[in-house]
Amino acid sequence: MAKTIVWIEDDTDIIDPVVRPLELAGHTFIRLRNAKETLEALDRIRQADLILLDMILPPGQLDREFGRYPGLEVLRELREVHGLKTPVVVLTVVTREEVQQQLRALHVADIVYKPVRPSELRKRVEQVLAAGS
Amino acid sequence: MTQMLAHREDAQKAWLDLFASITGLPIGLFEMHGREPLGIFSQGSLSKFEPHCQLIRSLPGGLAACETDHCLRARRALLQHGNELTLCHAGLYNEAVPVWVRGEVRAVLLYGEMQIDDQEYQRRSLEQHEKAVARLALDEDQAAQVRALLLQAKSYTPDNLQQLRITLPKVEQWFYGFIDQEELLEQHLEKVSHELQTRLQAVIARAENMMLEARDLSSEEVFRGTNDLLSAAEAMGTVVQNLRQSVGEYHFQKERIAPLLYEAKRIYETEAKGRGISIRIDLASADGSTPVLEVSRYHLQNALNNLVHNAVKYSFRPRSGRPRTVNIWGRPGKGCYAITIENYGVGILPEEIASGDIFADGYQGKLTQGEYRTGSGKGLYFAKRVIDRHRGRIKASSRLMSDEADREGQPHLNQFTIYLPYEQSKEGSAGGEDDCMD
Repeated sequence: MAKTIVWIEDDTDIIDPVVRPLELAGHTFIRLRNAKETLEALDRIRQADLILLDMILPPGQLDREFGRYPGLEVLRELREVHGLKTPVVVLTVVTREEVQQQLRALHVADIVYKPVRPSELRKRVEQVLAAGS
Repeated sequence: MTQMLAHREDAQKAWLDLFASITGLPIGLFEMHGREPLGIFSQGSLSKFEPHCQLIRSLPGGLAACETDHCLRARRALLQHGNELTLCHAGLYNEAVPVWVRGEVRAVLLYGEMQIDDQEYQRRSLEQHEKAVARLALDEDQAAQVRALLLQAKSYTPDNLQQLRITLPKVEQWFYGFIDQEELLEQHLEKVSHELQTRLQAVIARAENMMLEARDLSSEEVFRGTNDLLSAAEAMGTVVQNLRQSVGEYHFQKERIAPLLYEAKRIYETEAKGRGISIRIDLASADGSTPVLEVSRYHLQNALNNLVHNAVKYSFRPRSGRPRTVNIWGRPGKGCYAITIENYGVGILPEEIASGDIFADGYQGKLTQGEYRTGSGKGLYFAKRVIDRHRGRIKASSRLMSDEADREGQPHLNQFTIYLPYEQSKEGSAGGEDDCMD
Protein backbone atom coordinates (compact mmCIF):
# COMPACT_ATOMS: atom_id res chain seq x y z
CA MET A 1 0.00 0.00 0.00
CA ALA A 2 1.39 3.40 -1.02
CA LYS A 3 2.47 5.67 1.80
CA THR A 4 3.56 9.27 2.22
CA ILE A 5 7.14 9.78 3.31
CA VAL A 6 8.63 13.10 4.41
CA TRP A 7 12.30 13.19 3.45
CA ILE A 8 14.28 15.82 5.39
CA GLU A 9 17.59 16.11 3.51
CA ASP A 10 19.45 19.02 1.94
CA ASP A 11 21.36 16.95 -0.65
CA THR A 12 18.40 15.49 -2.55
CA ASP A 13 19.80 17.02 -5.74
CA ILE A 14 22.76 14.66 -5.40
CA ILE A 15 21.32 11.56 -3.79
CA ASP A 16 17.76 11.54 -5.06
CA PRO A 17 18.29 8.17 -6.81
CA VAL A 18 18.52 6.47 -3.41
CA VAL A 19 14.73 6.67 -3.00
CA ARG A 20 13.89 5.60 -6.55
CA PRO A 21 12.81 2.03 -5.64
CA LEU A 22 10.51 3.51 -2.98
CA GLU A 23 9.00 5.89 -5.54
CA LEU A 24 8.63 3.06 -8.06
CA ALA A 25 6.81 1.10 -5.36
CA GLY A 26 4.25 3.89 -5.31
CA HIS A 27 5.23 5.84 -2.20
CA THR A 28 4.93 9.62 -2.35
CA PHE A 29 7.72 11.88 -1.14
CA ILE A 30 7.58 15.30 0.43
CA ARG A 31 11.07 16.79 0.35
CA LEU A 32 12.14 19.32 2.97
CA ARG A 33 15.59 20.81 2.74
CA ASN A 34 16.43 22.45 6.05
CA ALA A 35 15.39 22.78 9.68
CA LYS A 36 13.34 25.92 9.12
CA GLU A 37 11.36 24.41 6.24
CA THR A 38 10.69 21.34 8.34
CA LEU A 39 9.39 23.22 11.36
CA GLU A 40 7.15 25.29 9.10
CA ALA A 41 5.65 22.21 7.46
CA LEU A 42 4.18 20.57 10.56
CA ASP A 43 0.73 20.11 9.03
CA ARG A 44 2.18 18.19 6.11
CA ILE A 45 4.43 16.17 8.38
CA ARG A 46 1.49 15.16 10.56
CA GLN A 47 -0.19 13.63 7.49
CA ALA A 48 2.87 11.56 6.63
CA ASP A 49 3.33 7.86 7.39
CA LEU A 50 7.08 8.03 7.92
CA ILE A 51 9.89 10.57 8.25
CA LEU A 52 13.25 9.92 6.61
CA LEU A 53 15.72 12.23 8.30
CA ASP A 54 19.35 13.32 7.92
CA MET A 55 21.31 14.62 10.93
CA ILE A 56 23.40 17.17 9.09
CA LEU A 57 21.03 19.82 7.79
CA PRO A 58 21.26 23.52 7.15
CA PRO A 59 19.34 25.55 9.71
CA GLY A 60 17.69 27.57 6.95
CA GLN A 61 17.98 30.73 9.02
CA LEU A 62 20.74 32.21 11.11
CA ASP A 63 18.83 33.68 14.05
CA ARG A 64 18.45 30.36 15.79
CA GLU A 65 21.15 27.92 16.95
CA PHE A 66 20.60 24.31 16.00
CA GLY A 67 23.93 22.94 17.16
CA ARG A 68 26.12 20.52 15.30
CA TYR A 69 23.30 18.17 14.28
CA PRO A 70 20.23 20.19 13.34
CA GLY A 71 18.40 17.02 12.31
CA LEU A 72 18.61 15.80 15.88
CA GLU A 73 17.30 19.09 17.26
CA VAL A 74 14.48 19.12 14.74
CA LEU A 75 13.48 15.60 15.73
CA ARG A 76 13.58 16.54 19.40
CA GLU A 77 11.27 19.46 18.73
CA LEU A 78 8.89 17.36 16.64
CA ARG A 79 8.68 14.77 19.39
CA GLU A 80 8.83 16.82 22.57
CA VAL A 81 7.21 20.10 21.60
CA HIS A 82 4.77 19.03 18.92
CA GLY A 83 4.06 15.53 20.20
CA LEU A 84 4.65 13.87 16.84
CA LYS A 85 4.65 10.08 16.97
CA THR A 86 5.33 9.44 13.28
CA PRO A 87 7.88 6.64 12.75
CA VAL A 88 11.31 7.98 11.90
CA VAL A 89 14.09 6.35 9.92
CA VAL A 90 17.37 8.22 10.14
CA LEU A 91 19.51 8.16 6.98
CA THR A 92 22.86 9.67 7.85
CA VAL A 93 26.66 9.50 7.79
CA VAL A 94 26.86 10.38 11.51
CA THR A 95 27.88 7.35 13.58
CA ARG A 96 28.81 9.04 16.88
CA GLU A 97 27.71 6.99 19.85
CA GLU A 98 26.25 9.90 21.78
CA VAL A 99 24.10 10.80 18.76
CA GLN A 100 22.87 7.20 18.48
CA GLN A 101 21.88 7.28 22.15
CA GLN A 102 19.94 10.49 21.71
CA LEU A 103 18.19 9.12 18.65
CA ARG A 104 17.14 5.97 20.51
CA ALA A 105 15.83 8.15 23.32
CA LEU A 106 13.72 9.95 20.71
CA HIS A 107 12.29 6.61 19.57
CA VAL A 108 13.63 6.42 16.05
CA ALA A 109 12.56 3.18 14.40
CA ASP A 110 15.78 2.59 12.47
CA ILE A 111 19.15 4.19 11.69
CA VAL A 112 20.54 3.61 8.21
CA TYR A 113 24.08 4.68 7.42
CA LYS A 114 25.07 6.22 4.09
CA PRO A 115 26.02 4.99 1.63
CA VAL A 116 23.23 2.46 1.31
CA ARG A 117 21.90 0.60 -1.68
CA PRO A 118 18.48 1.87 -2.77
CA SER A 119 17.08 -1.67 -2.50
CA GLU A 120 18.29 -1.95 1.09
CA LEU A 121 16.81 1.42 1.98
CA ARG A 122 13.50 0.34 0.48
CA LYS A 123 13.55 -2.85 2.56
CA ARG A 124 14.32 -1.01 5.81
CA VAL A 125 11.75 1.72 5.23
CA GLU A 126 9.02 -0.74 4.28
CA GLN A 127 9.74 -2.83 7.36
CA VAL A 128 9.14 0.24 9.50
CA LEU A 129 6.02 1.17 7.54
CA ALA A 130 4.67 -2.36 7.99
CA ALA A 131 5.40 -2.28 11.71
CA GLY A 132 3.68 1.09 11.94
CA SER A 133 0.59 -0.27 10.19
CA MET B 1 36.15 8.40 19.90
CA THR B 2 35.82 6.93 23.42
CA GLN B 3 39.58 6.33 23.40
CA MET B 4 40.18 9.95 22.48
CA LEU B 5 37.98 11.12 25.35
CA ALA B 6 39.77 8.86 27.82
CA HIS B 7 43.12 10.10 26.56
CA ARG B 8 41.98 13.65 26.91
CA GLU B 9 40.79 13.08 30.48
CA ASP B 10 44.13 11.49 31.38
CA ALA B 11 45.94 14.52 30.03
CA GLN B 12 43.69 16.87 32.00
CA LYS B 13 44.28 14.92 35.23
CA ALA B 14 48.04 14.99 34.66
CA TRP B 15 47.88 18.75 34.34
CA LEU B 16 45.72 19.05 37.46
CA ASP B 17 48.23 16.87 39.34
CA LEU B 18 51.03 19.16 38.24
CA PHE B 19 49.21 22.22 39.52
CA ALA B 20 48.34 20.55 42.82
CA SER B 21 51.91 19.37 43.42
CA ILE B 22 53.43 22.78 42.65
CA THR B 23 50.94 24.92 44.58
CA GLY B 24 49.80 22.49 47.26
CA LEU B 25 46.23 23.43 46.37
CA PRO B 26 43.48 21.03 45.29
CA ILE B 27 41.98 21.90 41.91
CA GLY B 28 39.00 20.70 39.93
CA LEU B 29 38.15 21.21 36.26
CA PHE B 30 34.50 21.63 35.33
CA GLU B 31 32.93 21.47 31.87
CA MET B 32 29.28 21.59 30.91
CA HIS B 33 27.92 18.22 29.86
CA GLY B 34 24.39 18.77 28.74
CA ARG B 35 22.82 20.95 31.41
CA GLU B 36 25.11 20.02 34.30
CA PRO B 37 28.76 20.78 34.97
CA LEU B 38 30.91 17.70 35.27
CA GLY B 39 34.03 17.93 37.40
CA ILE B 40 37.37 16.18 37.27
CA PHE B 41 39.68 15.96 40.25
CA SER B 42 42.96 14.12 39.83
CA GLN B 43 44.29 11.78 42.55
CA GLY B 44 47.03 14.25 43.33
CA SER B 45 44.41 16.92 43.72
CA LEU B 46 42.18 14.83 45.99
CA SER B 47 45.17 14.20 48.24
CA LYS B 48 45.54 17.97 48.69
CA PHE B 49 42.00 18.44 50.06
CA GLU B 50 42.03 20.28 53.35
CA PRO B 51 41.53 18.04 56.43
CA HIS B 52 38.41 20.15 57.06
CA CYS B 53 36.98 19.17 53.66
CA GLN B 54 38.02 15.54 54.02
CA LEU B 55 36.18 15.33 57.30
CA ILE B 56 33.02 16.99 55.95
CA ARG B 57 33.03 14.61 52.98
CA SER B 58 33.28 11.60 55.27
CA LEU B 59 30.24 12.58 57.35
CA PRO B 60 26.69 11.45 56.46
CA GLY B 61 25.38 13.72 53.71
CA GLY B 62 28.72 15.53 53.53
CA LEU B 63 29.97 14.15 50.20
CA ALA B 64 26.68 14.87 48.41
CA ALA B 65 26.59 18.37 49.89
CA CYS B 66 30.15 19.06 48.69
CA GLU B 67 29.54 17.76 45.17
CA THR B 68 26.28 19.64 44.78
CA ASP B 69 27.97 22.78 46.02
CA HIS B 70 30.88 22.35 43.56
CA CYS B 71 28.45 22.00 40.66
CA LEU B 72 26.40 25.02 41.67
CA ARG B 73 29.46 27.24 41.92
CA ALA B 74 30.95 25.88 38.72
CA ARG B 75 27.71 26.48 36.81
CA ARG B 76 27.54 30.04 38.10
CA ALA B 77 31.13 30.67 37.10
CA LEU B 78 30.54 29.12 33.64
CA LEU B 79 27.59 31.43 33.08
CA GLN B 80 29.07 34.59 34.54
CA HIS B 81 32.37 34.30 32.68
CA GLY B 82 34.48 36.27 35.13
CA ASN B 83 37.03 35.36 37.80
CA GLU B 84 35.32 34.99 41.12
CA LEU B 85 36.27 34.23 44.70
CA THR B 86 33.59 31.79 45.82
CA LEU B 87 32.69 30.60 49.27
CA CYS B 88 31.98 26.90 49.56
CA HIS B 89 29.01 25.59 51.53
CA ALA B 90 31.27 24.70 54.49
CA GLY B 91 33.11 28.01 54.75
CA LEU B 92 36.31 27.79 52.71
CA TYR B 93 37.18 29.96 49.74
CA ASN B 94 37.88 28.83 46.20
CA GLU B 95 38.92 30.73 43.14
CA ALA B 96 36.72 30.16 40.09
CA VAL B 97 38.62 30.89 36.89
CA PRO B 98 36.92 30.54 33.49
CA VAL B 99 38.96 29.11 30.63
CA TRP B 100 38.43 31.03 27.40
CA VAL B 101 39.06 29.44 24.00
CA ARG B 102 38.18 31.26 20.79
CA GLY B 103 35.90 33.70 22.53
CA GLU B 104 33.98 31.06 24.41
CA VAL B 105 34.18 29.84 28.01
CA ARG B 106 34.98 26.14 27.66
CA ALA B 107 35.53 25.22 31.29
CA VAL B 108 36.05 26.61 34.75
CA LEU B 109 38.77 25.82 37.28
CA LEU B 110 37.92 25.74 40.96
CA TYR B 111 40.90 25.65 43.24
CA GLY B 112 41.92 26.62 46.74
CA GLU B 113 40.02 25.48 49.82
CA MET B 114 41.52 28.32 51.78
CA GLN B 115 40.94 31.03 54.28
CA ILE B 116 41.59 34.63 53.37
CA ASP B 117 43.75 36.67 55.66
CA ASP B 118 41.14 39.39 56.14
CA GLN B 119 38.62 40.01 58.97
CA GLU B 120 35.53 40.40 56.83
CA TYR B 121 36.31 37.30 54.77
CA GLN B 122 36.88 35.33 57.94
CA ARG B 123 33.58 36.50 59.40
CA ARG B 124 31.69 35.34 56.32
CA SER B 125 33.57 32.07 56.36
CA LEU B 126 32.47 31.30 59.91
CA GLU B 127 28.89 32.30 59.18
CA GLN B 128 28.74 29.94 56.21
CA HIS B 129 30.40 27.20 58.19
CA GLU B 130 27.75 27.38 60.95
CA LYS B 131 24.99 27.00 58.38
CA ALA B 132 26.66 23.85 57.00
CA VAL B 133 27.00 22.41 60.49
CA ALA B 134 23.28 22.96 61.04
CA ARG B 135 22.31 21.46 57.66
CA LEU B 136 24.42 18.37 58.23
CA ALA B 137 23.01 18.07 61.76
CA LEU B 138 26.43 17.47 63.31
CA ASP B 139 26.65 16.58 66.95
CA GLU B 140 28.73 18.71 69.35
CA ASP B 141 31.93 16.71 68.96
CA GLN B 142 31.72 16.65 65.18
CA ALA B 143 30.91 20.37 65.09
CA ALA B 144 33.90 21.18 67.32
CA GLN B 145 36.19 19.04 65.17
CA VAL B 146 35.22 20.62 61.85
CA ARG B 147 35.40 24.12 63.35
CA ALA B 148 38.92 23.51 64.59
CA LEU B 149 39.97 22.24 61.18
CA LEU B 150 38.33 25.24 59.48
CA LEU B 151 40.46 27.61 61.56
CA GLN B 152 43.61 25.64 60.73
CA ALA B 153 43.01 25.73 56.93
CA LYS B 154 45.79 27.35 54.95
CA SER B 155 45.43 31.08 54.63
CA TYR B 156 46.22 33.36 51.72
CA THR B 157 46.51 37.08 51.46
CA PRO B 158 44.68 38.86 48.63
CA ASP B 159 48.10 39.45 46.95
CA ASN B 160 48.91 35.72 46.86
CA LEU B 161 45.58 35.12 45.23
CA GLN B 162 46.22 37.74 42.58
CA GLN B 163 49.46 35.97 41.62
CA LEU B 164 47.69 32.67 41.10
CA ARG B 165 44.93 34.39 39.14
CA ILE B 166 47.44 35.76 36.65
CA THR B 167 49.39 32.53 36.09
CA LEU B 168 46.78 29.85 36.05
CA PRO B 169 44.52 30.80 33.09
CA LYS B 170 47.51 31.12 30.72
CA VAL B 171 48.58 27.57 31.43
CA GLU B 172 45.08 26.27 31.06
CA GLN B 173 44.56 28.14 27.80
CA TRP B 174 47.66 26.47 26.45
CA PHE B 175 46.21 23.14 27.41
CA TYR B 176 42.83 23.96 25.91
CA GLY B 177 44.51 25.06 22.73
CA PHE B 178 45.33 21.40 22.15
CA ILE B 179 41.80 20.32 22.97
CA ASP B 180 40.53 22.94 20.58
CA GLN B 181 42.74 21.72 17.75
CA GLU B 182 41.64 18.16 18.41
CA GLU B 183 37.99 19.16 18.22
CA LEU B 184 38.51 21.25 15.09
CA LEU B 185 40.17 18.26 13.47
CA GLU B 186 37.31 16.00 14.48
CA GLN B 187 34.74 18.43 13.08
CA HIS B 188 36.74 18.81 9.89
CA LEU B 189 36.95 15.04 9.45
CA GLU B 190 33.22 14.79 9.95
CA LYS B 191 32.59 17.44 7.28
CA VAL B 192 34.93 15.72 4.86
CA SER B 193 33.38 12.35 5.59
CA HIS B 194 29.94 13.81 5.01
CA GLU B 195 30.91 15.28 1.67
CA LEU B 196 32.55 12.05 0.49
CA GLN B 197 29.80 9.79 1.76
CA THR B 198 27.17 11.94 0.05
CA ARG B 199 28.97 11.65 -3.30
CA LEU B 200 29.52 7.95 -2.79
CA GLN B 201 25.84 7.54 -2.01
CA ALA B 202 25.02 9.12 -5.38
CA VAL B 203 27.34 6.69 -7.18
CA ILE B 204 26.02 3.61 -5.40
CA ALA B 205 22.39 4.62 -5.82
CA ARG B 206 22.73 5.28 -9.55
CA ALA B 207 24.72 2.12 -10.11
CA GLU B 208 22.27 -0.17 -8.36
CA ASN B 209 19.24 1.43 -9.97
CA MET B 210 20.77 0.96 -13.41
CA MET B 211 21.68 -2.63 -12.65
CA LEU B 212 18.17 -3.47 -11.47
CA GLU B 213 16.44 -1.69 -14.35
CA ALA B 214 18.95 -2.55 -17.10
CA ARG B 215 16.69 -4.97 -18.97
CA ASP B 216 13.95 -2.37 -19.37
CA LEU B 217 16.13 0.56 -20.43
CA SER B 218 16.50 1.90 -23.95
CA SER B 219 20.03 2.51 -25.22
CA GLU B 220 19.46 6.25 -24.83
CA GLU B 221 18.47 5.74 -21.19
CA VAL B 222 21.50 3.53 -20.64
CA PHE B 223 23.70 6.23 -22.12
CA ARG B 224 22.18 8.92 -19.92
CA GLY B 225 22.30 6.71 -16.83
CA THR B 226 25.96 5.79 -17.27
CA ASN B 227 26.76 9.43 -17.97
CA ASP B 228 25.09 10.40 -14.70
CA LEU B 229 27.01 7.67 -12.93
CA LEU B 230 30.28 8.82 -14.44
CA SER B 231 29.50 12.42 -13.43
CA ALA B 232 28.72 11.35 -9.87
CA ALA B 233 32.03 9.47 -9.66
CA GLU B 234 33.98 12.37 -11.11
CA ALA B 235 32.36 14.83 -8.74
CA MET B 236 33.58 12.56 -5.97
CA GLY B 237 37.02 12.62 -7.54
CA THR B 238 37.05 16.41 -7.29
CA VAL B 239 36.23 16.21 -3.58
CA VAL B 240 39.09 13.75 -3.05
CA GLN B 241 41.48 15.93 -5.01
CA ASN B 242 40.56 18.94 -2.83
CA LEU B 243 41.57 17.05 0.29
CA ARG B 244 45.06 16.26 -0.82
CA GLN B 245 47.94 18.21 0.68
CA SER B 246 50.08 17.55 -2.35
CA VAL B 247 48.36 17.84 -5.71
CA GLY B 248 50.97 16.13 -7.83
CA GLU B 249 53.33 17.47 -10.44
CA TYR B 250 52.09 20.06 -12.87
CA HIS B 251 52.50 19.26 -16.58
CA PHE B 252 52.02 22.32 -18.69
CA GLN B 253 51.14 22.03 -22.33
CA LYS B 254 49.02 23.88 -24.82
CA GLU B 255 45.36 22.94 -24.42
CA ARG B 256 42.08 24.16 -25.78
CA ILE B 257 40.22 25.62 -22.84
CA ALA B 258 36.71 24.84 -24.08
CA PRO B 259 36.77 21.07 -23.41
CA LEU B 260 37.76 21.67 -19.78
CA LEU B 261 34.79 23.96 -19.25
CA TYR B 262 32.40 21.63 -21.06
CA GLU B 263 33.68 18.75 -18.93
CA ALA B 264 32.96 20.72 -15.74
CA LYS B 265 29.50 21.44 -17.12
CA ARG B 266 28.92 17.75 -17.89
CA ILE B 267 29.94 16.64 -14.39
CA TYR B 268 27.54 19.00 -12.60
CA GLU B 269 24.74 19.23 -15.14
CA THR B 270 22.57 16.55 -13.54
CA GLU B 271 22.85 18.19 -10.13
CA ALA B 272 22.16 21.56 -11.74
CA LYS B 273 19.06 20.23 -13.52
CA GLY B 274 17.86 18.81 -10.22
CA ARG B 275 17.95 22.36 -8.86
CA GLY B 276 16.29 23.78 -11.99
CA ILE B 277 19.49 25.45 -13.17
CA SER B 278 21.05 25.41 -16.62
CA ILE B 279 24.71 25.99 -17.38
CA ARG B 280 25.67 28.15 -20.38
CA ILE B 281 29.12 28.57 -21.88
CA ASP B 282 30.22 31.28 -24.31
CA LEU B 283 33.91 31.56 -25.15
CA ALA B 284 35.27 34.30 -27.34
CA SER B 285 38.71 34.64 -28.80
CA ALA B 286 40.50 37.37 -30.69
CA ASP B 287 40.50 35.50 -33.98
CA GLY B 288 37.28 33.46 -33.56
CA SER B 289 39.14 30.23 -32.86
CA THR B 290 38.85 28.22 -29.66
CA PRO B 291 41.18 29.72 -27.07
CA VAL B 292 44.37 27.76 -26.43
CA LEU B 293 46.35 28.20 -23.21
CA GLU B 294 49.40 26.58 -21.70
CA VAL B 295 47.92 24.79 -18.69
CA SER B 296 48.30 21.74 -16.48
CA ARG B 297 45.11 20.08 -17.63
CA TYR B 298 44.51 17.77 -14.67
CA HIS B 299 44.87 20.55 -12.13
CA LEU B 300 42.99 23.20 -14.02
CA GLN B 301 40.15 20.76 -14.68
CA ASN B 302 39.73 20.25 -10.93
CA ALA B 303 39.92 23.99 -10.28
CA LEU B 304 37.20 24.66 -12.86
CA ASN B 305 35.11 21.79 -11.47
CA ASN B 306 35.20 23.48 -8.07
CA LEU B 307 34.22 26.88 -9.43
CA VAL B 308 31.38 25.51 -11.55
CA HIS B 309 30.13 23.32 -8.72
CA ASN B 310 30.11 26.26 -6.29
CA ALA B 311 28.14 28.30 -8.82
CA VAL B 312 25.56 25.49 -9.10
CA LYS B 313 25.48 24.68 -5.39
CA TYR B 314 24.95 28.25 -4.23
CA SER B 315 22.44 29.26 -6.91
CA PHE B 316 18.94 29.98 -5.79
CA ARG B 317 16.33 27.67 -7.21
CA PRO B 318 14.02 29.09 -9.88
CA ARG B 319 10.86 30.77 -8.67
CA SER B 320 7.63 31.59 -10.48
CA GLY B 321 8.93 30.27 -13.76
CA ARG B 322 12.06 32.43 -13.67
CA PRO B 323 14.85 30.26 -15.02
CA ARG B 324 18.20 30.28 -13.32
CA THR B 325 21.43 30.00 -15.24
CA VAL B 326 25.06 29.64 -14.36
CA ASN B 327 26.81 31.66 -17.04
CA ILE B 328 30.36 30.96 -18.07
CA TRP B 329 32.06 33.20 -20.55
CA GLY B 330 35.59 33.86 -21.68
CA ARG B 331 37.28 36.78 -23.33
CA PRO B 332 40.81 37.46 -24.47
CA GLY B 333 42.88 40.06 -22.62
CA LYS B 334 46.41 41.39 -22.93
CA GLY B 335 48.71 38.42 -22.36
CA CYS B 336 45.99 36.37 -20.73
CA TYR B 337 42.55 34.89 -21.12
CA ALA B 338 39.76 35.73 -18.65
CA ILE B 339 37.10 33.19 -17.75
CA THR B 340 34.14 34.34 -15.69
CA ILE B 341 31.73 32.05 -13.87
CA GLU B 342 28.60 33.83 -12.77
CA ASN B 343 25.61 32.73 -10.70
CA TYR B 344 22.58 34.26 -8.99
CA GLY B 345 22.16 33.11 -5.42
CA VAL B 346 23.82 33.09 -2.01
CA GLY B 347 26.21 35.99 -1.69
CA ILE B 348 29.65 36.63 -0.29
CA LEU B 349 30.25 39.41 2.22
CA PRO B 350 32.43 42.29 0.99
CA GLU B 351 34.84 41.85 3.88
CA GLU B 352 35.32 38.19 3.04
CA ILE B 353 36.35 39.15 -0.48
CA ALA B 354 38.49 42.10 0.58
CA SER B 355 40.40 40.05 3.15
CA GLY B 356 40.78 37.03 0.88
CA ASP B 357 39.15 34.86 3.54
CA ILE B 358 36.96 33.12 0.98
CA PHE B 359 40.08 31.53 -0.47
CA ALA B 360 41.37 30.35 2.90
CA ASP B 361 41.63 26.64 3.62
CA GLY B 362 38.42 25.35 5.22
CA TYR B 363 36.67 28.71 5.10
CA GLN B 364 32.93 28.73 4.44
CA GLY B 365 31.24 32.01 3.67
CA LYS B 366 29.07 33.36 6.45
CA LEU B 367 26.07 33.79 4.17
CA THR B 368 26.18 30.10 3.22
CA GLN B 369 25.89 28.87 6.77
CA GLY B 370 22.15 29.12 7.09
CA GLU B 371 21.47 27.40 3.84
CA TYR B 372 24.14 24.88 3.04
CA ARG B 373 26.04 22.21 4.93
CA THR B 374 27.67 19.92 2.42
CA GLY B 375 31.16 21.09 1.73
CA SER B 376 34.53 21.10 3.41
CA GLY B 377 35.50 24.66 2.52
CA LYS B 378 38.34 23.33 0.36
CA GLY B 379 37.09 24.09 -3.15
CA LEU B 380 38.08 27.74 -3.51
CA TYR B 381 41.31 27.19 -1.61
CA PHE B 382 42.25 24.43 -4.05
CA ALA B 383 41.18 26.47 -7.08
CA LYS B 384 43.29 29.46 -6.01
CA ARG B 385 46.36 27.28 -5.44
CA VAL B 386 46.05 25.92 -8.96
CA ILE B 387 45.50 29.35 -10.50
CA ASP B 388 48.42 30.80 -8.56
CA ARG B 389 50.57 27.97 -9.85
CA HIS B 390 49.47 28.88 -13.36
CA ARG B 391 50.73 32.41 -12.66
CA GLY B 392 47.17 33.57 -13.01
CA ARG B 393 44.80 35.50 -10.78
CA ILE B 394 41.33 34.95 -9.46
CA LYS B 395 38.95 37.74 -8.57
CA ALA B 396 35.58 37.53 -6.87
CA SER B 397 32.66 39.91 -6.74
CA SER B 398 29.24 39.60 -5.17
CA ARG B 399 26.61 42.24 -5.87
CA LEU B 400 23.52 42.45 -3.68
CA MET B 401 20.46 42.38 -5.92
CA SER B 402 17.87 43.59 -3.43
CA ASP B 403 17.28 46.66 -1.28
CA GLU B 404 17.59 44.78 2.00
CA ALA B 405 20.28 45.96 4.40
CA ASP B 406 20.79 42.46 5.75
CA ARG B 407 22.40 40.27 3.11
CA GLU B 408 21.38 37.00 4.67
CA GLY B 409 19.07 35.05 2.37
CA GLN B 410 19.16 37.81 -0.24
CA PRO B 411 20.00 37.24 -3.92
CA HIS B 412 23.43 38.20 -5.12
CA LEU B 413 25.01 38.24 -8.54
CA ASN B 414 28.32 36.48 -7.98
CA GLN B 415 31.22 36.36 -10.36
CA PHE B 416 34.51 34.53 -10.14
CA THR B 417 36.93 35.59 -12.86
CA ILE B 418 40.17 33.78 -13.46
CA TYR B 419 42.90 35.30 -15.55
CA LEU B 420 45.26 32.78 -17.09
CA PRO B 421 48.37 33.65 -19.09
CA TYR B 422 48.47 32.20 -22.58
CA GLU B 423 51.93 30.89 -21.93
CA GLN B 424 53.88 29.92 -18.87
CA SER B 425 57.25 31.60 -18.31
CA LYS B 426 60.14 29.68 -19.90
CA GLU B 427 62.21 30.31 -16.74
CA GLY B 428 59.47 28.63 -14.74
CA SER B 429 59.29 31.42 -12.19
CA ALA B 430 56.08 33.12 -11.15
CA GLY B 431 55.25 36.20 -13.20
CA GLY B 432 54.06 39.56 -11.92
CA GLU B 433 50.71 41.24 -12.31
CA ASP B 434 51.71 42.66 -15.71
CA ASP B 435 51.66 39.17 -17.17
CA CYS B 436 47.91 39.11 -16.97
CA MET B 437 45.96 42.32 -17.26
CA ASP B 438 42.34 43.20 -17.94
